Amino acid sequence: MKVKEVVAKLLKRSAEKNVVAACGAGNYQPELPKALKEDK
Amino acid sequence: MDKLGLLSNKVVTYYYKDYSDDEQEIMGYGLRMILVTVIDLIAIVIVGLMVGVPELAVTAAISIGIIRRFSGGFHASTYVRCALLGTVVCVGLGLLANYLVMSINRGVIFILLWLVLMIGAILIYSYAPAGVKEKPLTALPKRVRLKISSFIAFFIVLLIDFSLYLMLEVDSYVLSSLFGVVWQIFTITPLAYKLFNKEYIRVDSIRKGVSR
Repeated sequence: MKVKEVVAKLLKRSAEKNVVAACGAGNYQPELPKALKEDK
Repeated sequence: MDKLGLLSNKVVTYYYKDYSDDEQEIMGYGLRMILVTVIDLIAIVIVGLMVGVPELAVTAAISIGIIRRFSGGFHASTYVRCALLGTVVCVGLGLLANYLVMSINRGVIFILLWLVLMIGAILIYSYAPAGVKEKPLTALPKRVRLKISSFIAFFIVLLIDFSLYLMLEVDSYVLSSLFGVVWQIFTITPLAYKLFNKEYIRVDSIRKGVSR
């Protein structure tokens, strides 16, 4: 798998896993992307 | 959108032209979250180094992060405020732990561990997962999953704290981690939302499946 694809996967995972707590140490939660607003 | 968001989107759009708009938006958001976390941690380490408690500040940040990942809690409105709040809280907790470890005896720390375990479990049962306006968490299965995960994360952190206390006797780390847990539990309560002037999204009616 190319580096580009691996990074893309990592970024998507970061977005999906951050839907509740934006960042561990701090407290920032920007507006979610439309595609992630579906509450599963 | 803030500058960090614009920068993330630009980077993603530049390198991932062949991806769909939805995918680019998600990846831009993902990059933004990574950058916020990295900026936060760097700020905590730098300020922690300046006041002499970098390891304790990072310990508090890790404890907060592990539980926060599932329990949620109130959020700052911009990443600058997020970095500031995260830094002040984590370094402050590190300093407090560093100060208290010299002035209280080990028995008090043991009592604190049990107190946090009992009160924390009640508060997680009552308020986790705490949603925010941007992500109110309305789906029942997800809320149940996150509540269970919050409990597991909470117990794992406390188990580590108990183990460190009993086996390694690194009390400053135990206290710092414990204070991180206390702060994180506090951020899921309606009181914290009120004090920081945030809209509290009530998601505690799991049995009824109602979100108000």
